[in-house]
Amino acid sequence: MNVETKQVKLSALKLNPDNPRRIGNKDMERLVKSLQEFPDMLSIREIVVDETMTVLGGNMRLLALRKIGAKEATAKIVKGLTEAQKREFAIKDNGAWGQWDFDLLANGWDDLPLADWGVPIPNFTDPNEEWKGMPEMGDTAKGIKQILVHFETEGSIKEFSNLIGQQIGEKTKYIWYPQKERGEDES
Amino acid sequence: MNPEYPVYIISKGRWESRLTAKALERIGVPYQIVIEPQELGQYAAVIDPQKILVLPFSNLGQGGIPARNWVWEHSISAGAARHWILDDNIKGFRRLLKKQRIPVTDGTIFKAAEDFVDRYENVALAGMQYNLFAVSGKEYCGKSLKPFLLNTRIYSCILIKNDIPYRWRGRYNEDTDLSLRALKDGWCTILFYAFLCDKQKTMTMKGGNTDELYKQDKDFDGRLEMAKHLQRQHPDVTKITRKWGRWQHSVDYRPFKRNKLIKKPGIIIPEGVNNYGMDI
Repeated sequence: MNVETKQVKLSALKLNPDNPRRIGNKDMERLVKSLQEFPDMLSIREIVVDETMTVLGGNMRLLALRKIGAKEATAKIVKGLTEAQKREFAIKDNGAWGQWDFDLLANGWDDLPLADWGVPIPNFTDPNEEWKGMPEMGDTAKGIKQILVHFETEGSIKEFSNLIGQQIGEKTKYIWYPQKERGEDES
Repeated sequence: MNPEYPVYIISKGRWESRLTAKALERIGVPYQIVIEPQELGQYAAVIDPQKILVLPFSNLGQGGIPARNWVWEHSISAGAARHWILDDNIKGFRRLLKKQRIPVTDGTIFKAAEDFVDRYENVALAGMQYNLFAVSGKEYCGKSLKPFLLNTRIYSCILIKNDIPYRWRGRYNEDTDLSLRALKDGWCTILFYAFLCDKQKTMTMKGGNTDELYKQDKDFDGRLEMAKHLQRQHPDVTKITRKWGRWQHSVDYRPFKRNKLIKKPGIIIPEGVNNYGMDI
């Protein structure tokens, strides 16, 4: 494998037609703004391309640069990767390793425009919480604990079914123990 | 209790069935039915003419889009901040309570929906889920019932914020397109599960645009054409798939999960339940 980093003409870079990532208008606007505010970021974190100048990592940034009207970009040209390695890189480069600590973000980094910088601020909307002061809907009782039970074979399902004395059919999504009749699990 | 915002039904060729009009009559909700001029005689024979609005055009060959946009402007000129626009194939309205889909006997669910939406600054579209989608294993397998689904497609029975910067467009899937345009700009949409509408199955009614849209022969597949149309409008979130022997569009609404509801300043949300006087 050979790696070379250099300034290249933007017109020389090709978007990966099979890139499985996509970006909405709002996020693209944020990315464009982010690049405009901190252009050096691009030379620190280059666009990664293969020997055909097809992007392996940085398709969204390339799109944003085109929008800005940039003429050049810093590219890391990687030669000698197999097709499988290229595919692996495209995915792993965007892999969601780790997670944001929203407590820390909220209490130490909250002076920064986090959403504008691409931090996926979760939607904390809880429909039930928002529904205060509205007509009741009732609920389904959940019991005190729920567990997932995995069955390796059809025989295991049958065995388990016999053990607890309840039918477990193809359409069974959940059961109660002790068993409840239909409608009994409404609170 | 009745809705505060004007309720419009757009209808074509369905004066005999007029399902939505009948459903609203049953629960005493005021409405206006919007029709093309050549059908005035037929509609006026079965509906109070005072409830009929006649479009200034007919047979434009653009589906229901011009009528929908005309309704939008009509409601603005009437000074309304939002308007309801309903398809003409809704058989009834229900409230979801403890797994029961209870038919309502007045327009309270419209008013409650309006009050809820008006708590927020940024709800572009809201609407009632179809009755047939409201109770399924998915909602009940150990999960709490949700009164609404946030940021998805709103269809058939829609409450539109009048000052959003869009209008109906296109030829097919116009409800999905409008929802997506609003969502992409950061607006929220609310699909109520607490309040439901009973839609007649697609392709089981005469009139409307159904025949043309769902036409299928060796040279033309209406469903595929509709899916392609939406994919051209929203390639970033739309896929075309073939399910159950026919073409379908599949929209990914996950990118819009981050659009958050913004409460209006100073709004006070009461604690507890408000059934608006509705009982079983």
